[in-house]
Amino acid sequence: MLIGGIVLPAYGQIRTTQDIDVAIAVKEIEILRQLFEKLRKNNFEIPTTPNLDAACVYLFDRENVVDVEIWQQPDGVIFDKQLLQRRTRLPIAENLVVWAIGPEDFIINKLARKDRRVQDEADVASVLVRQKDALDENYLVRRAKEFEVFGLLGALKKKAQET
Amino acid sequence: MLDENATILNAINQNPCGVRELVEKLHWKTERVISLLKTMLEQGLIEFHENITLYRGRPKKLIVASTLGSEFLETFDRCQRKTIQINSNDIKSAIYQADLAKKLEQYHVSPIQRFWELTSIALKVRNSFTVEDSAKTSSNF
Repeated sequence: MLIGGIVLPAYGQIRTTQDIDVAIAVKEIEILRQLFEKLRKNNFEIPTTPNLDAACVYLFDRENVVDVEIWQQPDGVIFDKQLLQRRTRLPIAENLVVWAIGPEDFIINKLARKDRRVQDEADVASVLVRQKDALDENYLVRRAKEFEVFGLLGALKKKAQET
Repeated sequence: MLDENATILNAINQNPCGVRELVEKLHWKTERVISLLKTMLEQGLIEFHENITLYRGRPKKLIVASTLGSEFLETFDRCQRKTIQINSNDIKSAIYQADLAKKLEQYHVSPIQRFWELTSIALKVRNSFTVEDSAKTSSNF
């Protein structure tokens, strides 16, 4: 499932990002090993060995010269049924349909980042403006409280209303 | 200094008040408020107006923003909105993005070409969501 800046144009402002963030939920090391193997065969550089506890694995796609971050524990994301129900299918090319994180979880993921930037807050504000009535408010508030970003979310909502 | 002036002007703009009330409102030390008010008066940013009431005693002096003070506040607010707001993580991210651009050059990929590719992907993402917007699919997970 795509997460991070690449998903932003779907829900908020159009902004480009040079790297790609992908969230995966793998429970067995063997599956992760197979995934790494496949990626290496496809010319991906992976500097680490498979590890289910690694929050993020940094890859480099040599063929397309793109940095890819594979998140096993994305900030503010719980791999549960609700997260999956809120995913969105994005048909970005004729033969390419990808899953993307839902708008509410996109917001929480951005706000809960340990290395949160002012840019992330601006991204969230743009989603709040554009998705105003389409967001599941109860879910958003619940997740925001869980990840202790409720106050920040409130401040950004206020900012979005003033816009 | 400018910040402090703006804070005082904002406070008296909302509700003109005397020095004591202003001190209470701002939770600043009395000496600090008095010193700032003195300077602001000299600069022509504020004026003192006597508040004549029916009550006996000395009329209360209200601090009011002068025309110059109001103009100052408007300009200050406008400048604040234009401030570039960043934190250390934005700077780290900018350095990372610059490193990625360098990497592109090492691999003989034009950063400008890449920018157009990324822009086209961003537009596809935007348009694909618009199409699928109403058909959000739930998983069989």
